[in-house]
Amino acid sequence: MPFLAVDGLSKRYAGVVALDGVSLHVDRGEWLAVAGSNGAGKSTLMRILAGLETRDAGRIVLDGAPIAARSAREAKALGIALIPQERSLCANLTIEDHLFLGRERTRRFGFVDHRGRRERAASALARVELDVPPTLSVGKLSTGNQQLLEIARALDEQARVLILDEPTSSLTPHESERLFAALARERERGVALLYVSHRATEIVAYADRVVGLTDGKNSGELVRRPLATEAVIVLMAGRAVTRATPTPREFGPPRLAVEELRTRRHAREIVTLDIRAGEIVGLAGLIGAGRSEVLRALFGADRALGGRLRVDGTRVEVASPRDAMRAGIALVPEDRPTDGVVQDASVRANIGMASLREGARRGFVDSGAERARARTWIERLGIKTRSDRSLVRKLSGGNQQKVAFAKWLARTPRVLLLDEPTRGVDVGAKEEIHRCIEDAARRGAAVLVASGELDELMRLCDRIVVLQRGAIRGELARSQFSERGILELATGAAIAPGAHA
Amino acid sequence: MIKNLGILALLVAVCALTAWQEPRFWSAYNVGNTLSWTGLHGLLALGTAVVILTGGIDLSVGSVAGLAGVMLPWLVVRLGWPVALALPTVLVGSVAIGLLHGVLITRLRLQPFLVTLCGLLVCRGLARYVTGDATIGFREEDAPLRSIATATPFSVDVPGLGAPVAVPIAFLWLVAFALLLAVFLHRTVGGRSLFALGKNEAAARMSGVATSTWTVIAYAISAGLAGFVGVLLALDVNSVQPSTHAQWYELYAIAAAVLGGCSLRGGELTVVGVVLGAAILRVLYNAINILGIPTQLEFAVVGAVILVGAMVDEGLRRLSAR
Repeated sequence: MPFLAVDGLSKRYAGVVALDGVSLHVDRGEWLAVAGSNGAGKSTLMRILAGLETRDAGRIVLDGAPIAARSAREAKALGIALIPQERSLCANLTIEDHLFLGRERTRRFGFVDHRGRRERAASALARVELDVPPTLSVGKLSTGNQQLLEIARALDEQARVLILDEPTSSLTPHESERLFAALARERERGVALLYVSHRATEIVAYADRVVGLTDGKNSGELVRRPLATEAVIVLMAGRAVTRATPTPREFGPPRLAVEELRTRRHAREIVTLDIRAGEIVGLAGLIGAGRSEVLRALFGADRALGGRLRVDGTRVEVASPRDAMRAGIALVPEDRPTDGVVQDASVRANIGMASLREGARRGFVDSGAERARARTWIERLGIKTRSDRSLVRKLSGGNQQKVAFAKWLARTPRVLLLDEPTRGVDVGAKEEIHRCIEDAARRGAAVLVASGELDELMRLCDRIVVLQRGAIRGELARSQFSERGILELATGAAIAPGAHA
Repeated sequence: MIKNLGILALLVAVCALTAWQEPRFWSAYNVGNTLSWTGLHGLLALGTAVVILTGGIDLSVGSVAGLAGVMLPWLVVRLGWPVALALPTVLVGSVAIGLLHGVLITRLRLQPFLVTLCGLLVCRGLARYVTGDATIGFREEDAPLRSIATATPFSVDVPGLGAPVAVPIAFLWLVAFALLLAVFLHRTVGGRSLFALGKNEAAARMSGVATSTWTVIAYAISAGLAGFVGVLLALDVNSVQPSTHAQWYELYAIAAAVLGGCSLRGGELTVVGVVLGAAILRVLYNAINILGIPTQLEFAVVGAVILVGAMVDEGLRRLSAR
């Protein structure tokens, strides 16, 4: 009998079917990957298992006994822990505080047992091989270490099933490896792993089995030894993904010229680069290398400390996003829910938001033009939405990202800055977004893409510029692209062949 | 719109209940009087709602109204300024207070609660100091000026009231400003900008919306309307007590805005809802007086009704989210 078995799980939200009779099981010491496009029901499945949502129908059996967790607390007590994608750590708590938050170890009269908790914290951290003092504040940890801390806490709470939602989406390759090593150790100890990821390579490398979901239903299953990447991708997308070979683009005259840009984060380093019309340049580097900082400074989202900027040879001063927009610069930012879209506004309002002044006469918005613009871009980018008046919140991640793109493409930008353009987006939508980036370049935009996913950059870009600690360490032409070459520049160290598969 | 139907139903229910208990509620005089007070409070509530739309709060409107209401008779009667100079000065001064609030909030990044709380204290203190806390009023010859607050330009025949209702000008001011504000909020770049920044300021700024400018303008609108209401109220009652003129009106304004569907998190506002919210508060106040409920209970009744309204609203929201 499997350790955790889910049978015929169904869930509706406001009449929309999220899960429709999903069944799956996972054994002790098994690594099960759940694949599917945005909106396939992966999140709902995980949230029900973790007690954050209630199911409408279906059975969940844990270790032979049917369970019905009604809160995260109850699920945890049963041994099921969810490690969410967006971590909700309190930055100014110490690691120790965070580990015991809400389940403080006390002595008589409710006094905190300081010695006991220190020892227990040390052993919890040792279990995931996190070598940091328990008194350090959580905010000082890297994203990867925060992830490990969350896992340490779950394990200390006797978790027997770990559910991981895209755990590596903001980790460096090195951090990802440490995470996977820790997870592999727990698998040996008999912990069941339920793992959701949009990265086919990770699934291929680690999962024992993959279950596919499409439109809230089981859509297939693949068993290990060996998992074929192409088959996993098909399972993830819920359909065959055609990777269009990009047609070569003509480069025009230099569009964007950046000279000696200095950002607040790396005040001593300067960045100088040129991008021609129609060219797509990648910005690679580890987390903290300053990729986002460069883009945000170019767009005026953060003030640059120094540097000169030219668009089509004309000097421009950028102190705010509005200055950048006047110069024809657009930025699709990294953090979609906070910076990229207004989730509680309609698709139409979002697509029109950067063009409010364009169609306006004496301050009055041209509603007709706004509606037409929204409909045009919904069709052109294939945004899946019930209508242009639906709230962006109701769309899947990939479609939200397309809305964020549409807002800027509607202005036909001369310079298009993209920060992690496909983070948290499924394989199918990723392909479509890549196509629309290429399209913008073909129309003459100079494109600068920052991404932590090297295969994305290598597929998309004509040239890759590598940052390390805020400075450009090198540049690779398309013919020189290799993951190893980029990582060597990004880390500043020679890497033995095969160290990063 | 469905949300406004709920609050409209509440208004009708309160009116019907009161009229059933006490027929005098449904008299031409009482209806006209309630319309007039609804006009004043509605104007304040609309201004406050625009600030709440940005995700901020304006606690100063009662004191700004108090200061404006004191300054006008002080300038005209005590200093002998011509009305044509004094009235614009008072209104421009009110707007300037709002601009100052906005600038402190956007440039110095101070909390709106703190800034406008200080505005509340400072304006009230100034009003009392300038006049030496003495009651102040207008003269016989200021009657033409007073007509902008006391006139009843036309009457409407409503069956069952016995006499035609003289529509008070304060209510007409409310209608005019409500229409202007509705057009501004839904048709102009500024209105769209306010909604966008109220729902998500970071994303709005990253879309090139002039978030700081529009936030400052929101506070200016609020203070400007507060100043106007303070003037109307002073002209209407003709006896201004610096320490109590329009005191605590900011609480009625915030209550009306929230009752009218504004979220204190920002990003939500319907003009009709806010006006209905203000109307409910005035009808409640009127009902308490007319039904002989001890007036000491007024705040308790108003508080309880708002709480019940909020609970029903939240319940409906959860039902519709299902």
